[in-house]
Amino acid sequence: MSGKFLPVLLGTGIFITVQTGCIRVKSDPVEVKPIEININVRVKVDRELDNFFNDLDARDASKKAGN
Amino acid sequence: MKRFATILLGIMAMGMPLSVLQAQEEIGTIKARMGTRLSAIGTLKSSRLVGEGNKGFLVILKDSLTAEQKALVDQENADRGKVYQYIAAKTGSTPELVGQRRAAQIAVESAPGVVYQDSAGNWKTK
Repeated sequence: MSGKFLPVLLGTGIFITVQTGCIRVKSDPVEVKPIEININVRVKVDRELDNFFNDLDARDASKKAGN
Repeated sequence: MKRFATILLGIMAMGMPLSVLQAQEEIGTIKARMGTRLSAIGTLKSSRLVGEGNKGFLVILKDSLTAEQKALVDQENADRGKVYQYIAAKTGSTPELVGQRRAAQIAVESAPGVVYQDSAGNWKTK
């Protein structure tokens, strides 16, 4: 039994080593998170709203003075 | 033939910036119109006949508005919608988001006594 056991064990060990050596690790591509895109768009929107409405709001009595 | 092609290309090249200029002219006209309504809209808001909704539009709060006042509110909301569309196209967002951001600005900037709707849909008085 010991005559066959060692070769079997060795063969199994070689098999496992070869299989693990064939494993490829793949990393996911870098992606921009949606929340970052949303914040950028919000900033742009707020800026455009300010550009359009600033002088109207300055003349609007229903808005607080000094805004 | 070459001259004709050059002239034709020149006319076609003008087409793009002309449309941009047209949009800017139209937005300028809208802004001027909104400016003429400021006082009347302000009176409606201070009387609490209309409030500022959380989508960036005026909302009628009482049924006692005259037809003329209702028309004024409709005209103001129509112009606000056009402004939101213009800004949405310019920034790559949506008119809904632009309206919501404008509503948030109005909620902060409004004078005491103005009725406004918060983001959760609750009506409050400044």
